Amino acid sequence: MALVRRVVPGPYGATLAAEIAQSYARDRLRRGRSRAWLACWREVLSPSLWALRRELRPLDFPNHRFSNSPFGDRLLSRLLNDVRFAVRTLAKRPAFTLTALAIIAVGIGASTTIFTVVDHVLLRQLPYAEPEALVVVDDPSFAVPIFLAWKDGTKDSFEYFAASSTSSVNLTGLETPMHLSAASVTPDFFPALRVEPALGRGFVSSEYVAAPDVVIVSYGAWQRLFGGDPDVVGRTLQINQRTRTVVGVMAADFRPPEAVVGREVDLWMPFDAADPAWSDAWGSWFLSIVARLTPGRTLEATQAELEALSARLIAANPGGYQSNDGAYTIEISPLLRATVGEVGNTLYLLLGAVGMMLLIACANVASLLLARATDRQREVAVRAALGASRSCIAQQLLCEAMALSLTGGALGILGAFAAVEWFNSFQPGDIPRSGAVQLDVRVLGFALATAVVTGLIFGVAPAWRAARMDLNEAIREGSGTLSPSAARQRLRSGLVVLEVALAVVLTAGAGLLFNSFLHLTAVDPGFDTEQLLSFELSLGTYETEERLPVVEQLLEALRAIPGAESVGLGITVPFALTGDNRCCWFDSMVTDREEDEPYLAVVNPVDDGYFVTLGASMRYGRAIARADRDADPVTVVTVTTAQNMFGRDDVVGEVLHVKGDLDLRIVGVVEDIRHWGLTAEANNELYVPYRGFHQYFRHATFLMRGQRADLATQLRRAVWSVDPQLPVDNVVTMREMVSASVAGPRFYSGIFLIFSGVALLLAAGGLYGALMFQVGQRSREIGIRMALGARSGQVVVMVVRQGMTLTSIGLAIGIAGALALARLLESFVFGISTADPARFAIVVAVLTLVAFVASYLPARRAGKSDPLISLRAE
Amino acid sequence: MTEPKRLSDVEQQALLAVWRLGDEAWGANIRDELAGVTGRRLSISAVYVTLVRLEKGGLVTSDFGEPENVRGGKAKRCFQIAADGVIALKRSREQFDRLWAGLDATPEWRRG
Repeated sequence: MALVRRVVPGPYGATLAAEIAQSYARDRLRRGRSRAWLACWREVLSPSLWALRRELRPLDFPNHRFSNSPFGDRLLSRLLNDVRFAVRTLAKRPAFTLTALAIIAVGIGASTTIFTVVDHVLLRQLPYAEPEALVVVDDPSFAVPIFLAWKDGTKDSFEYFAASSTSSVNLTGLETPMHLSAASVTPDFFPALRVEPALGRGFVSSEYVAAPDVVIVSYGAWQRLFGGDPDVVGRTLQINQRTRTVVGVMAADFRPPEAVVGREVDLWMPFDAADPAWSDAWGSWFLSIVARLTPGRTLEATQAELEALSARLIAANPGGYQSNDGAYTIEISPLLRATVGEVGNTLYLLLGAVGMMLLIACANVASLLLARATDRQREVAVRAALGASRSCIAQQLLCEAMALSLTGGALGILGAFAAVEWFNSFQPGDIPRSGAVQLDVRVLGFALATAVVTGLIFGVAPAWRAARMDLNEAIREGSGTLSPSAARQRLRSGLVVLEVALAVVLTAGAGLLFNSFLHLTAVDPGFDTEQLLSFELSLGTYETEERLPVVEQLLEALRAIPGAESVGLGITVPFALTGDNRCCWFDSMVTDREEDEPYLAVVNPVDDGYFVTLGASMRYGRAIARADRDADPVTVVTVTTAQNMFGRDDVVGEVLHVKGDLDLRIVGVVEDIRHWGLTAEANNELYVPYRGFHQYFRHATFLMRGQRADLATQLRRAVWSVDPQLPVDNVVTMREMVSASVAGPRFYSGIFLIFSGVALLLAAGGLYGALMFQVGQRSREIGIRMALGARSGQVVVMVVRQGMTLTSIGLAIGIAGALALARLLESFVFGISTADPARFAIVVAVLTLVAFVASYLPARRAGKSDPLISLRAE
Repeated sequence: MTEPKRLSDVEQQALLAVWRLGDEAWGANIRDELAGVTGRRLSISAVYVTLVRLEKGGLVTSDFGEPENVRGGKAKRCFQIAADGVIALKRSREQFDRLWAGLDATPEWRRG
């Protein structure tokens, strides 16, 4: 608005600015933010603003001056003149202008898109009041007594110290039962985040203690379950067979702290950590901790204090404070860092890649502008001779570059709007805080800045050259020297070398990531993913002793489905725990008796159909059998477990000792199953008959193999024939699960491939353009050579050699860069060496080929040129 | 009185909008009126350009209205049509009417 008032001073400007602002405010309500922004910018950039200024000038407004100084006004009018001239000259050369615009638009569009994501995920503060004071305790989970002891011991350091636990609950009483994600939180949770429900109220302290039959729903759940009913407070929900009263609704823009409660939380319920039932539950680790530092406390001091505290606590109760894997340290980190996690590096990598692409685009446009500057040398010289000052000419050329970069930037921003949409629908789902990435003022500012900087980068070189131009030489050169000046050629060659080098770096990076992705997908998961369905049921509503008969009825009903080849049951299935999922596995310490040092192993209770349905193959012995049902202490171990614990594969007949006085006889060794994802090392895993462990079946996962297309419908029907209140809304194929587990690498390597493809194209275009231009410039020289007897083959070789020389310099620099990048990429690749010479050889071959084609085309033209024509033309 | 200036198309429409809007004739409203009635989409500044031109010709007068009763509400510049404005409008309408006289609303197109 200040801009408006500056262009149109006086009372008219003030009213106009105010009206535009009001119009924006109203549009924002009626038509949404982005449209209002567009309309507002149309107003601000409208040419009528200048018309109004002109119109007002002669009017007698006694109380103001039209510009701060006459100099400012003159500068402005000169600038306007330059802009007008720039637009006219650019419009006269549509081919040049369109090419340059397309290149800039691609560069700026891509970088704006990536920056939008980076900004949203990494740079932005968390959406809570004073977010920098929020911390999490890094370990994934804690037992209740530990939480209480810490809360007690850290009253001075933390203003609030809260815990939460997220689980899947069954919602019934609707048409079909469904799963919802519910976070149970302690009283400090909402105060720590400084949030309150938008509708209704938060939990009161008595609700945390007494039978807490209340619930706060998320905005999304409010819309889905209640259709956004404004009178929702007081209505009820059937959650895990208990009626809970809704007391509040969270705001639409409230984002739960992902690092603590997971990405989607539908329901919030009070959790009473002080309940005596938990006071001795040292073995149940399920709480995540989030806390707010007392104002003035630093992270480091608090960390030291916590370490001292846990040392004291461990000394007092050595067993209790140890998690199963023995080692134990307590570490706190800022909530933002914990939320962003590993993804930060990936995104910075993408930002770097897109930056390189932008640089190539700049080099390309700079080289185009240089070519044009050479073309226009005569015009510029004449203008200088007629008295235009050097600064004037330089300003004119810069202005042209700016007009290009700003227009290209505007196109790029339009493209970025689409690209961000695309990103939202295709992103791999492992990016935290990316729920609603969208372009906004900040990002537009970035795009604008990028456009200006870009314009400066590719505009300065020609402008600088024009300003330093030697008039005499220029006019002479224009009238017919043999070749363009050496300095200008060097500059263009330098740009081509730069482009080739950057393209090598990007292509090598893309090759690396893509190769790694191929390796990843080639990993054998240890089971057959085809025609295999899995789904999870929450049986938490049943009492412990009811679970076994229910599970058995379910298995019966599922086996009875016609077309179901086999059915299996486990507490979890492979890949169910990749990503965000943190449900319901348990592990234990296991020893082989002879050796005292215990191993951490995951214990998975399964039925006799589990291995058959998965298609896992046994190496030794047998699978869990139906006869094992009656708590016969047998177990099947994976090959890795056998190797780790006994140092050999064939361990059938050995006995394992599980913490809690349980001896298991090994009856079989199964090939490793990649339980935790394709990249994860195989863990120690024990499979035991589910009968003896049915108390753990709060969640049960079923596997089903079959050809029938409507298997999912059938199995729902089968489950509901046993209990119509059980939600079955998460039937997935194993193929989807495996594919989803590599969504990240697929996405990033794909983006890299696109970037490197564009980079290659731009570099090839740059080389082609540079050579083509040189051939044109040197047509006289070539003509003379041919007139003196050079054969066309020799001319072709000469031009191609020139192109290949530039390419090889670029290649050499690029490979050095690529090696450096490879080191950076080490943590992103899987199963391949980052410095594989064969891969570099391929990159070199591809680039050489592309460069050869790009140089051959101009060379052929040079070879075909008729010496008579090119000599006569001068 | 000298021969009055001829009104351009935009000027006629803007004048009519000011007339129609009465006490509510300020920039954004005039723009909306024009967009709503004629489908012509102008920017607020373009509306102002026209109005300032008309004001110079004495066809409209302007004044600051009541400040709006919201936080940060500013007084708006309200325009009123002047007597000369009405005369000019009527004159251009008469000219058009005379030109239209005797013509069918759906003129026959002739080849050639």
